[in-house]
Amino acid sequence: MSSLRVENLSVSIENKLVLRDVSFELKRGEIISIMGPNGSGKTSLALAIMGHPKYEILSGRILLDDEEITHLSPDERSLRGLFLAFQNPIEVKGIRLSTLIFSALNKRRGERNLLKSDPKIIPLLMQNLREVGLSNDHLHRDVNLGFSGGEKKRAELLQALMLKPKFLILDEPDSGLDVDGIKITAKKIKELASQGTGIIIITHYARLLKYLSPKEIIVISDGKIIARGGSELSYLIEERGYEALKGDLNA
Amino acid sequence: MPSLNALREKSLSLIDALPYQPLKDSPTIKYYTDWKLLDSYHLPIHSAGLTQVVQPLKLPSNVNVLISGKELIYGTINEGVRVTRTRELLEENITTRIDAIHYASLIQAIDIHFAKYDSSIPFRLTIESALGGGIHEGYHVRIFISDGLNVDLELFEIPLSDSSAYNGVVELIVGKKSSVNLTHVVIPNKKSPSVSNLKIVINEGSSVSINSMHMGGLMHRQQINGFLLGNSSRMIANVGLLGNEKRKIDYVFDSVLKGLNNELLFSGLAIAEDNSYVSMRAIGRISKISSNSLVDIRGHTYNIGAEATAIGSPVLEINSNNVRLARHSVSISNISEDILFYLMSRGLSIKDVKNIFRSELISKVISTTNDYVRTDVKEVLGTLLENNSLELT
Amino acid sequence: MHDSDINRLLESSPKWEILSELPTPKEIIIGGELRESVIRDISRIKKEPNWMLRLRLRAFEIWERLPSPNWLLGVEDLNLENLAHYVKPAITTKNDYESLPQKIYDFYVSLGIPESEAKYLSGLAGVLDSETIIMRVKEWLRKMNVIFMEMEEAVKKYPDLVKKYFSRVYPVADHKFAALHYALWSGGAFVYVPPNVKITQPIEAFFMISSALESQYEHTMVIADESSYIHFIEGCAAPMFPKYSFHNGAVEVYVHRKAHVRFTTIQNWSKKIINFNNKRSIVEEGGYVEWLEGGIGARVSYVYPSAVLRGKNAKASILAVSIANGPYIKDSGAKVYHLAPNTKSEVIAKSISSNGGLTIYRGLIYIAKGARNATSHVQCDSLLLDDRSRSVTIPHNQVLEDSAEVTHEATAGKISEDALFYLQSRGLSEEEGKSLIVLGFMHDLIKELPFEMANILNTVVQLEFSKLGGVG
Repeated sequence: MSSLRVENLSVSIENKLVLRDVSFELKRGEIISIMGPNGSGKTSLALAIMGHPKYEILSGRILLDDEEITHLSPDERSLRGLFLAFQNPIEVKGIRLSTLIFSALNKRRGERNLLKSDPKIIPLLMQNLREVGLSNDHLHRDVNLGFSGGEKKRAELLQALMLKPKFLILDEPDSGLDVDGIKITAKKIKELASQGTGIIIITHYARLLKYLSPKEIIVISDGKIIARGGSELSYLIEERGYEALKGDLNA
Repeated sequence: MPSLNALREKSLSLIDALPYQPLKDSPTIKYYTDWKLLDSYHLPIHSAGLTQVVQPLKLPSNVNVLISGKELIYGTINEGVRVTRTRELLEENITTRIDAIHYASLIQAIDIHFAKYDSSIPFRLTIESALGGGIHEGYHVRIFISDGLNVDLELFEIPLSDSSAYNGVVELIVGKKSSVNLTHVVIPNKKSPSVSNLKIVINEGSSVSINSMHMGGLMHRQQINGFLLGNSSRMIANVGLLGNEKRKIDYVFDSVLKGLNNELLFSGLAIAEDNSYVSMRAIGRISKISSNSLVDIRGHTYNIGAEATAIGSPVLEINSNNVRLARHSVSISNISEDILFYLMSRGLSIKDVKNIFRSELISKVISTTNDYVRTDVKEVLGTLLENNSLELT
Repeated sequence: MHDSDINRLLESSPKWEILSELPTPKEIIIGGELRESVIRDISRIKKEPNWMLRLRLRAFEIWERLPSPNWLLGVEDLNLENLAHYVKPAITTKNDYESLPQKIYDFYVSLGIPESEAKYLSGLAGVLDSETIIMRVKEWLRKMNVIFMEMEEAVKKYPDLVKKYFSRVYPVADHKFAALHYALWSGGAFVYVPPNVKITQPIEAFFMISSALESQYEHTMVIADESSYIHFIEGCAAPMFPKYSFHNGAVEVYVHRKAHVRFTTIQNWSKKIINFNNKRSIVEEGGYVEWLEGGIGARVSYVYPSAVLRGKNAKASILAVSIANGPYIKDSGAKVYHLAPNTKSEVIAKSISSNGGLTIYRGLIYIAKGARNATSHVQCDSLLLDDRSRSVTIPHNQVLEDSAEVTHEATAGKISEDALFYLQSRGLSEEEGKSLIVLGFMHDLIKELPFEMANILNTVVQLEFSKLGGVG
């Protein structure tokens, strides 16, 4: 079965240990959630899985469809079907959003001319564009340049919808979105999952999870997994907070 | 006003006495433009002796006027537009050697008057250098836009001749309450130096919006002079500079704001690849008589060449304190680790990323008229677009 | 700003008035046509070793050869032949204030110099015209083997040490006035700090020009050996003359590995001075140089503190504030050359022009190939207080290393009307309000100064803006 497996991963950045012995498995079509307080290492986990150069893998491995990707470059991981929707997407002056989307698609199709805009793709692009709540104008602007927080999140989702990855990591996809935005995001996530994408939702709050039914919730604190469970975990956190949870576990 | 011949005579007499520049540019680099390269070219003696070494291409359907060496070729000239040969020029101060070279080397001088413009298709003027013999090849075009018009213009300057030094001056004089969208593309020659000077005069209530792309060449000096006269006039410039394949460019944008409520917004993006030289200078001058002016100059250079030189110099000259906003910022750096990681996480390699930055600079201006086949440009850029820039790794 | 601060500033009377004259008997005056014999006379009077005379003569030759910079403004009436090139006051160098001539003593006291020296400084050199008239060296400096003496004395006592650095940091042929400086230099302080010695209290040199039509060419050197620290302060003053005088000084700072030098200048020459100050530092591996410049006085001033970051991880920080209040020109800036990997520079330049003043910022950030991961950030802001004033910023950023990062930002504008209105609503006059806003603009510089210097700066600025148009 196609899966993304993280095995005993320990990671440091600038000589500081940020993840210790983290393990989990995500299967195609499943939705799982990683939760934790600020600074727990959730985003570090996402960035390390994606291959950010500043993160050093001290031990453990990452496997995608049984192939070890622990030391592959970010683009190699992406082409094997991994996609990360960033928490704070960076502005890229000089490349338009439409160009980024077309280039990424063309790369996957082995197209020589990366900038070629295939007219067959355009209807799907327009449809996805409207569904995530962005306009034509956003497509013609430089990536994330002058985008509000919510617009950046929508642009990340748009890219995920167009690239149809095998495994999708969404880092705080709900921050900056209003209630409608959250509902649409949830809808699209469920659609992707039903089409076979394995999805990890990294979140601080439980609200998005109410619309989804994650198969598993993993709680991280101080770089370690401190709890695993079903949806009841998210209600517990919502009601009593992470400190209480840690307290319960220590008791 | 003096005739072209009189200007030519005057220039000939002044040429040797004038310096290329009155002052040096900086303590470390004396002149940002390597003027010496122009010394090995001479002035054309007489028009009979000029040889056309590059034949103008069959005029593409989207080109309205083509100036190529001794040839002046018209495509469709819309109603309300008149093209004539210049008889007299308003005398400019001939203060530098390059001014004198220009007037002394004029091959053609054209005036284009826009009394009205109803088309949705941009008006395209293409100037090519096409002569041989190691001469300075000069062209002067004046474009007059009457009051109350909306005009889309495209100006392509393509020095095609390897054996002449192109110098082109285009003056864009915009009447009151008009708006002009100008796409300006300059593709200099890799074997000979070139100078292009675009002078824009904006009168009351008018605005000019420029989208431009300038590549480097053997040594290309790109000068843009903007004069915001009258009140409520506006200039917005989005500029792309490309130093690839060892090309060199010194780009100078110099604007003066003279009225009330003028606005100048400048945004420049430059790419300096291996062995290239890319200098981007933008000057905003707020004059004493202006009031409530706004100047916002921003430039960024992606310095991605191991042996490249990237220069940025944003200059503000404020002579009035009645300023709404006067700001400039410039940054020069490689593609940041974070930007690279973000783009790579979409499946693009480092080489792909660099190629895309470069191609975007070009396609932002060249694809603006969508479906039109740009045969002339494509021939020149052909190798660039298809062979090198967009290959997969 | 708190109301209590505002009151305190209003109540404190200016510490010193602008002097109208400071007549001091002169022992020697050498002026007139600038010839080789003038150079020889000066060297002879100083009883200099031959190598220094040769250096002066070589510099004089270069001075005659180099063309005048054609971009200078405001120096059209500078006629060196009308100036006294060397003026020795009839005072032998003292080491206590009471022995100074009365008028000079009074002037020093009115500036608070003896008092601040006692409380805050490790040492003080007072220079009048072309010679040093007072040297105060605290005991702990001697104990730490710190060398602090007049430049001329160092030339004689420590020739090898001086030769190692003299004119090596600021080159003789850099420009015409630098060459002139080296030909005619006189006075100034020499400081050498041995390895690992950290001097916690600053050393100060205070310069005065007593008459019109004089030139002052002091040469100051600060050498900080490995892992040492010193803060050097330079102050300048001159009475108001009917005619102008000319200051063309130089400062050479050498920062050895891991050493740290902070050099502060508060320049408040009167409005009749034409001021050139040639300042440069070389910084070795892990070293750190800080230039703090407050340029308030002078009719026209050209000062560009510079740093050559020669060793890896070397750092430079330049903080400059210039005020042109009246029809004066402040042409200032900063130059940093990054020649090694991981070097860092930060420049903050603030300028204020009013009453027809012109401030010009000229900056240069040069990053050589091989200066891997060098970073530089420059911020220059200018404030124009009225519509007669002007400001120009001309920065050059030249990057030959693809891993380097350079950023530059600048804004220019006027005082916010809201801010001025607020202060007026608290009972301040428009001029008082403006001076407070100016002080706020200069806050970055003021907060870095030792207390008494900050106080002097506060009152000087206040004085500037309280006089009608600041005309003197």
